Amino acid sequence: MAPVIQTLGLTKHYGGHRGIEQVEFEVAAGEVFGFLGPNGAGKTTTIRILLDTVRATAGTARIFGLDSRSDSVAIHRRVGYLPGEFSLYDRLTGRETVDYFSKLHGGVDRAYQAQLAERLDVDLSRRYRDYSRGNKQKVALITALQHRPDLLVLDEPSSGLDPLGQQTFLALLREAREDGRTVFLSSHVLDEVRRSCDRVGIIREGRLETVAPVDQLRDMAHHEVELRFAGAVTAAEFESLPGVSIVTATDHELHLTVTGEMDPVVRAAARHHLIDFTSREPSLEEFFLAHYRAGTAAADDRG
Amino acid sequence: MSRRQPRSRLDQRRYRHSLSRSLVTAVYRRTLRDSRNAVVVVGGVLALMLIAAAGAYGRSYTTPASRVSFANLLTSMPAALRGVTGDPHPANLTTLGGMVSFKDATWVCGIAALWSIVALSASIAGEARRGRLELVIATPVSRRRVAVEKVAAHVTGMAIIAAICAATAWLFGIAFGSLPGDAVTVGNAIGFGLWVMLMALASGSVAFALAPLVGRAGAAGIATAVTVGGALAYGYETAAPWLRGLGQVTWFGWTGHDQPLAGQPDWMTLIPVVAITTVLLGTGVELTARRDVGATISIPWLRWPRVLLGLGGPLRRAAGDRLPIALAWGLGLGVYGFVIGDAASAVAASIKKEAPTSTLSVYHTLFPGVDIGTTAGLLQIAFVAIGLVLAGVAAVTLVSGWAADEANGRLDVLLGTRLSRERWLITSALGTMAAVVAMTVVTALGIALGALAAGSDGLTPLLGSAALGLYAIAVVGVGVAVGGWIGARAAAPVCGAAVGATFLLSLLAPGLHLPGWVGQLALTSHLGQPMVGQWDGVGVIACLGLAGGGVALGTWGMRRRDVGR
Repeated sequence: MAPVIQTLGLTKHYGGHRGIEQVEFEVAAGEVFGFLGPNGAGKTTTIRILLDTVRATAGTARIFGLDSRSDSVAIHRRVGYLPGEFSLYDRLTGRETVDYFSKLHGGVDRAYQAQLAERLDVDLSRRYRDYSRGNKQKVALITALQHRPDLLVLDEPSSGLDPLGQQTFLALLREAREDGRTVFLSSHVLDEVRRSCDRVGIIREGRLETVAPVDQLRDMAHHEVELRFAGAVTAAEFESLPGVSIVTATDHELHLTVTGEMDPVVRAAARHHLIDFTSREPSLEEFFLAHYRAGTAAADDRG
Repeated sequence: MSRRQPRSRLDQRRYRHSLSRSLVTAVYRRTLRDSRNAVVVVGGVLALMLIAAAGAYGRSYTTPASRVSFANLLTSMPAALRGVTGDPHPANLTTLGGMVSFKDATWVCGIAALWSIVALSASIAGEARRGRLELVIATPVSRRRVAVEKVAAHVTGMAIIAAICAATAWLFGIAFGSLPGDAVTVGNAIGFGLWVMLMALASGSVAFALAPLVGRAGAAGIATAVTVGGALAYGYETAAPWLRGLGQVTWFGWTGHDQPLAGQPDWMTLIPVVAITTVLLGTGVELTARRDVGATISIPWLRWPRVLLGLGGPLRRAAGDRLPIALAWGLGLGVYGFVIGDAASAVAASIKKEAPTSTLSVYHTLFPGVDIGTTAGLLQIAFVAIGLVLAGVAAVTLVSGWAADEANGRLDVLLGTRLSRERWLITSALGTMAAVVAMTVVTALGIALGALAAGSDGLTPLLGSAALGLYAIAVVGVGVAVGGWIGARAAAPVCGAAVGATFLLSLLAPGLHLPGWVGQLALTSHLGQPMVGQWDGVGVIACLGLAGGGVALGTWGMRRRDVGR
C-alpha cells in the first residue's frame, strides 16, 4: 500500500538559518506516527511544509500520493490540522467557530461534532476570547477532528489539556486508528507517544536521526548492568567486550553500560563465581533524554 | 556560574531593593522604547502641519490691510463656519500665531489626543490581552508601580511631542513672520506645547481609566467619542446654543481662552485639565492594581447578530470580522457629515454674500480649485478634505484587521482546510473592501441627511461621499499587495505611511507653494470635486486600479512566499 506521507530530501533554510536538512520518512496508512525532538529541532517546519504553509528549499513531500505544494487543496480536503501555535476569532463563540470551520471543511456530521464537544467537556456557548488556554485547544481540536479526516496532522495536540482532556484525546486517537485513519503528531509528552504511537521519528538540529517502532527504541538504548561476584574481578577484562562502553569497578562489583546484545557480557561473567546479575532497561523518557543530551554534547564538541 | 546571593538581612533588603529598582526602570524604559517611533512620527506630523499652516498664511498675507480684511471676514462669519474652520472664539487673527491657533491648534491637539488614546488604552489592557502583563507583574514589582511607570513613560513621550510643537511654533514665527506681532515668544511657544500635551493627556487618561474595565477597544472607542464629541460640542457652541452647556464641560471649553500662539495665554485654565487628568490616570492605576488582570466587563446584550458574523464562507467572514470597526468609523464620519451637511448651505450663502475677493484667495491657496462660496465647495473643504484623511486612517485599521489572520497564526488553521492561499487572499481582501463599502454608505447617509435637513440637495453629497470609499479601497488595495508580497506585518505600517504621505503632500504643497507636480503626487488631488458631481476620472480609475491591482499583486505574491506568523 502506498504511504500516506512520503518525504524525500526535504530541506528548508530560512535565509542563513537552518530549518531542516534532508528529512526523509514515510507514514503508512492507518499508522500513528510520533514526531519528536527538542525545541527548534525542525518539527513544526516539517509539519508546515507538509501543509504547504511554508515552501521547501529542496526536496518533495507527497501526501496521499499528491504533491504537497501543487495539490495542497486536494490534500487539505482529507486532512485535519491543528497547528502548535494558533489563534481563532476572538468575537465568535466556540459553536460559531466550529460551525464556520465545518463550512470550510465540508462534510461535517453535526452529531459527531456535538459528541466531540461533549467528550472534551467544552462549553461551546462561550466566546473564544473568554476561553482558557486548554479550552481554546479543545475548540481547535474539534475543528481538526469534526470532519473525520483521513489524515490528522497535530502539532503538540495535548498542550494545555488537563489530564482528563488528555485521556479523551488519547481515546480519540485510538478511535481514529481503529477507523483506519492516519495520524502524524508532534509531541513532548512521552507517555502520550508511548501509549498512542506505532512508530516514532526523532529530529534533532534539523536532521531526522531515527525512525523506529516505539518498542524498538528501547532495544536501541543502553542497558545499565550490575554484576556482583564472590571474588575480585578486574575491569579490564570487560572493557574490551563488544557493546560495553563504561565500566566502574569496586572489589567485587562491576557497573557496565551495554549497548546491543548481552551475550558477550554474560559469557565473560560466567567465567567467575557470579552472585548477582542485574540489567535495568531504560524507560522511554530516559532514552529520549539520553538521545537529546548526546546531540547537545556532540554539538558542544563541534562548537 | 551562579550569582552571589545576599547573606545578611541588610544585604537581602538591598538586593530586593536593587532588583525592584532595576525592574521598575525596565518597565519605564521598555515602554518608552516601544513608543519611540510613534513619538517621532506624531511629533513630525504635527510640526509639518504647523509649518504648512504658518507658511500658507505668512506668505499670502504680508500687509496689515490684507490681514485686517481676512480677520474681519472670519469674525463676521456665521458661527457655524468658525466652528467648521477652526476655534469658535479666535483671538488676534491679524497675527501669524493667531491664525495658526485659530485654524490648526484644535487639529494638532486632536492628533496628539488620538495617539494618547491609542497608547494609553493599550498600555495595560493591550499587554494583558497578549498575556505579557502577567509576566511583568510576576516579578517583584507591584501592579500599581507597573501602571505608574507606564503612565510616566507615556507622559515622557508626550512631553517630547509637546517640545517639538513648542520649538516648531517658535521657529515658524521666525521663518514666516513678516509683520509686528508675528514672532512667537518662547513663553507662548512653551505654553502652546503644554496646552497640546495636557489636552492630549486628558483624552488619553479617559482611555487609561476605562481600559481595566472595558478592555482596550472599548476604552479607546469611548475616549475617542468623548474627545471628538467634546471638540464638536465646543466648536459648534456658538452656532447651536443647545451645545453651549455641553461644550463648556469639556476641556476644550475650559481652555477656550488659552491661546498662547495668539499671544493670549491663560495658564490658570489648564489647572482643571491637570486635575481631571490626574484623577483619571490615578483611577486607571488603582483599577489596574485592584482588578483581576485581563478581566473586563462584558455586555451580553451587545452581541452582534449571527447573520452579520459571516459564518457562511471566507468572504462573508472577512467582511463580518471587519464590519464592527467599519461601522464605527462610518458612524463617526456620518455624524460629522450630518453636522457639516446641515450647516453647509447657510454658511456657503453667507460667505458668498460677505466675503471680499482678497479673503477668498487664501482659501484658494489652501484648497486649490475649490469654490468656498458654494455648498459643494464648503462640503469639499470641510468634509471631503478631512474625510479623506479619516477614511484613509479607517482603511489602515481595516487592513490591520485583515493582516491579523496571518500575524496571529489564524491563517495556518484556515489554510489547513480546503481554502487555498489565493482564495483566502482574494476573498479576505474583497471582504475588507465590502466593509469599506459599509462604512462609506453610513457616512454618505449621514452627510445626505444633514444636507436634506438644511433643505439642500441630498443626492449629490450622497454620491460624492463615494470618493471616501474609493480612496479607502485604494488604501486597502495597497495593504493587500504589500501583505501578499512581503507579509502581513508590513501591510498596515506601509498603508499608514502612504496615508500620512498623501495627507502631508496635500497639506504642504499648496501651503508652502511647492511646484504643482508635488501636490499632484497625492492620490486625493485627483478625485475632482465629487460633492458637486464633478469627478476626476483619473483618480477614480487610479483608486479602482490600486484596489484591483493590489488584490492581483497580493495574490501573485501569496502564491510564492511562506506564510508567516
